[in-house]
Amino acid sequence: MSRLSFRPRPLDYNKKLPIVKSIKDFEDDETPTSTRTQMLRLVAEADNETQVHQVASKKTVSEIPTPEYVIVDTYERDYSPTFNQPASYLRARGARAEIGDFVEYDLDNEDEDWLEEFNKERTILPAEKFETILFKLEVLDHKARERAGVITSTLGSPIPVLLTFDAASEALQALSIQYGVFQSIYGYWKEKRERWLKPVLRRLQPPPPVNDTNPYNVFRPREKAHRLHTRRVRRNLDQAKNLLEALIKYLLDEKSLIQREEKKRDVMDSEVSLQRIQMKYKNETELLEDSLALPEMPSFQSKFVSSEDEILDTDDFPHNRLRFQPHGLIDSRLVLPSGGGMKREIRRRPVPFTWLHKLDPLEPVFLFTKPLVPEKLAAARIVPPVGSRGHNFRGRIGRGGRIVFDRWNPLMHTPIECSEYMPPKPRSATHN
Amino acid sequence: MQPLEVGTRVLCRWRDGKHHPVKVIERRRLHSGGPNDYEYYVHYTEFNRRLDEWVRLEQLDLDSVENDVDEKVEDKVTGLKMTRHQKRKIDETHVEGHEELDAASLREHEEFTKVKNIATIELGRYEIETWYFSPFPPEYNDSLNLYFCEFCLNFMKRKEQLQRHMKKCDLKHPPGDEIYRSGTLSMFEVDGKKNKVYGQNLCYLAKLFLDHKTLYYDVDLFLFYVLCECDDRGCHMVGYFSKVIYLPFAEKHSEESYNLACILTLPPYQRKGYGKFLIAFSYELSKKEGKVGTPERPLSDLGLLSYRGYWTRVLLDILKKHKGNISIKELSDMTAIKAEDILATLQALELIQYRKGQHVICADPKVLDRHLKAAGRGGLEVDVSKLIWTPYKEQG
Repeated sequence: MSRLSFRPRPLDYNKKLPIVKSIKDFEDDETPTSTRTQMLRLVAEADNETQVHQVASKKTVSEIPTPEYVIVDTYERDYSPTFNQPASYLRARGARAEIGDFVEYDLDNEDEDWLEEFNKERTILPAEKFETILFKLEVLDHKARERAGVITSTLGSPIPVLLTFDAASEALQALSIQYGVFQSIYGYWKEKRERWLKPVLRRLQPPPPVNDTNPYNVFRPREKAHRLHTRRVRRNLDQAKNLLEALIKYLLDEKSLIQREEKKRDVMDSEVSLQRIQMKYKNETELLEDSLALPEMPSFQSKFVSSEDEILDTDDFPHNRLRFQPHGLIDSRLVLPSGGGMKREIRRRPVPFTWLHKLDPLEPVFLFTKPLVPEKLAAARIVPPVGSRGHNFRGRIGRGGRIVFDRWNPLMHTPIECSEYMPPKPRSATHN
Repeated sequence: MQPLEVGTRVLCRWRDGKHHPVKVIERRRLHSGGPNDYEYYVHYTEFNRRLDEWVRLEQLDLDSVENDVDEKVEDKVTGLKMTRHQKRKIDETHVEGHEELDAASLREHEEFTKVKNIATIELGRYEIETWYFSPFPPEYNDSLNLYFCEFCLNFMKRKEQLQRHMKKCDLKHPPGDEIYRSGTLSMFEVDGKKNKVYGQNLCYLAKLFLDHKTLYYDVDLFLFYVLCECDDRGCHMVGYFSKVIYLPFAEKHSEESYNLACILTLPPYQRKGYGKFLIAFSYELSKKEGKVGTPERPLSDLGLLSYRGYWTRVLLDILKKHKGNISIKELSDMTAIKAEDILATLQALELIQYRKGQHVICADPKVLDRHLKAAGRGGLEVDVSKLIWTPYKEQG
């Protein structure tokens, strides 16, 4: 076997690998050694000659030629030997912008040329002072833009000059510059600044926008956009999935809401038609009914339902019903014993609303528009609750003909101030 | 005579006095010359493009002009001049170097940066020829030379401007915290967020010597580790490396274990062991953070060489002394070198063998010594006891 005839298993980083200290260990098992082992042995037993060869070839690689450099002869003059290294490690101080006095601006060629022309006949303005004034103008202009709230986070459109001559000369009074000289400097600065379309001081220039493709516009703000394309796509998919799920959930909610409303409408419809049939039936048998009605009244199950209960219009809270009732204000026997879990509106039995016949038999559908007639209530032995503890009640006929006593205005959400209908005192509270 | 066309291949006299094959990248009329007096920007096909330069017509051997060159001939020319070993090295560099750049963006990069904009810079004691293009602001387009303040790294077009600046410059060292000092050698940690302009200056400068460095992003998320030699004039930068601040929410960097983004030793200080010191330092920081690390790719030819050397030295020193079995993971934990880099290094040295159905590490002392010798000396050692540093996320 001169070569490996099988593919070695991938190496497991966690697996302990034996360290073989001698090449000879490799040769113990097989006599015909692999070429690789032979090479290893050659290397291990290499005499000086082969080593020289190896080093030589290495040398050509490590000496990659590079451009050159020379010593600057003015260095010793340009940089002063004034540095004293403290014994402790040096600590950073605040950035230059925070220190304040340091003039960050260095004159450029254009400034120098203008200054040379300006100082042609005699030196009116030293370079250092010119540098200071330009620096202050830049900072003042930046502050003016800050105050105006027009600082942009990225360099999009040209950045206008907001510093006026008057504001600048007032702010720089302390420098005591001749009016004419300052006028010239301001004029020069403003012209340059408007030509550049951006602050001259590099620190004040906003970075280019993220999507800028000009290769000279570097140091763009870092944004999420730099991520790998594949990852961005994947993240968008996640986002889309979430949105879609939210949309589906929303639509399903809508659907069930519509279904619920439709069901309510159907219930209403069937109730109305039920009442029509009842009325029709009662009209036909009015005389007979009339004579029989009163003795039957004790079997009429009236129920008092608080208006909150009706507004809730739900059977999801059956056990709460009692809580909503104006407790202690209703004759306990008038509370429907099994009313708790009953589907009131759907399963209501047709009951003879005999006292209603005396109203208008031709308009039986809109019972709830009719006022309560105290005599009829009394005749039906319905005892309105007594207002106490600051509560008042207003009686009305609810949907389906129930008699409702509100202590709370369901529309205004205010307590009933005073009962429009003051029922006569019940003849006996314990009437049976 | 007619000027040479861009794309022409010709032999050119180089600084060693010999003629080398070049390709004309660009040409421009000489200000002082006649209508046909041009100078040419040439690429020496044997060398990295850091050596591309403007040459006068006199340097070109016009008898060797080849106008119509097909790719086969090109391969032959360069192929003949290189040893197989060299060629393999270059191939590897190419493959390893550009794993994140596709061919199209690489071409675009080369086209845009094909001609250096700045020829030389002055930085402290040295006037240095630049290596590559750097995207300085447009206002600096017309200047072939730039003068850098060696402390705050502000750059100017004229020497007088630098001299005026030096009178007022209040810095004598990088504007960060000193975190290491041994003899005259000091390391400073500069937060790019707190020192935006310094960070940008450093990037502009570094790009002049790094081919595939991007200046696309703001310096806010970077820490710069600036290595200095100190004397009575101040702390003089010899090189630096940058590192992306570890942020749990910065997706790209949290899952990768990068412990170094860019690394540079300035040319006057090269081949003195500073590069290896910087690499070693980046791993010492990783150890303090309790993480393994790896440099961001691509690595330049010189960068790869330094890294290979460092990995070889560190790993082989351990293997020489170690008794018993050892896993790649254990080596990684001991050195903070990423497991992939360890495996690649050991495989490149052919120290991992498959024997009797399992992998073994070959650690014959003679073989190890030969590799160690080839990897070169370690140069300057990092004295961990002198590193006083808190990882960024633990800082206030």
